[in-house]
Amino acid sequence: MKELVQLQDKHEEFAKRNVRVVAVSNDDQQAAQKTRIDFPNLMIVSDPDQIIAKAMDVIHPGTESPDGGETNAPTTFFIDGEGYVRRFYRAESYLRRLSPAEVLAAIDETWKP
Amino acid sequence: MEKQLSSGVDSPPRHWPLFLVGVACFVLGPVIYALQMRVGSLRVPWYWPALATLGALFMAGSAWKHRGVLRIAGLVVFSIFCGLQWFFFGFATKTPVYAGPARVGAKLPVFAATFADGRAFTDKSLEDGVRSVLVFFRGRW
Repeated sequence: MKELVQLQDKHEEFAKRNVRVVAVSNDDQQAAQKTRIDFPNLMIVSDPDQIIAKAMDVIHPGTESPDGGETNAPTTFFIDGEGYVRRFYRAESYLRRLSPAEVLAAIDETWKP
Repeated sequence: MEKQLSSGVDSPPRHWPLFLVGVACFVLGPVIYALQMRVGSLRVPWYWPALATLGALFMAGSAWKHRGVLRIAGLVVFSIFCGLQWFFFGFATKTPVYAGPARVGAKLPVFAATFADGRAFTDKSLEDGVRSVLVFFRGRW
């Protein structure tokens, strides 16, 4: 969640670059609603049945969330306006996440003016 | 009286400070991590097991110089903790290498889910001309 706090704090920087942040978790609709209220400038997706997680293969095997089931391995994809993947990032440890500065740097590098 | 004083002066140093420095190293790891969390840095705290190792070395040095039961027991317990920390940071938190199916230069796989507000969210939602950063996170907990 700290990751979302930081991304929310930098939402103006993302807007300047015409980039939206879509955050996906396995939370149910109710939990996702709460997350949406906490982070109004991020687009929060509820994926309790892990439909996207399975389609994208981002499930971290062997993990367990408090409500059962495996969790997502923190992964970030950079998608262009036509739906093509331009870059992705997955750290070697789930403790490591991209900072907003790193996300912004990756955006600038991926879509150089 | 004279004899007692003399025996007190001659007794070997007990090297507890060295052991306590070791304990301090163990405590320092979580303290720095708490500070790291406060500033919001989401990096792997390798300093934590490294400090624990240093702490165990200090304790080993202390136990080597004065082989007391307490400090040897302490050394064993802290060494086990140290090993668990290396296991946790080196293996337990490791994520698998991402191997697809989403690949650079390819379209996203087909999927359908919902936004928190109940609107549909599909792979086509990301083909509206706006760039997106798609972040998978572990959950609200």
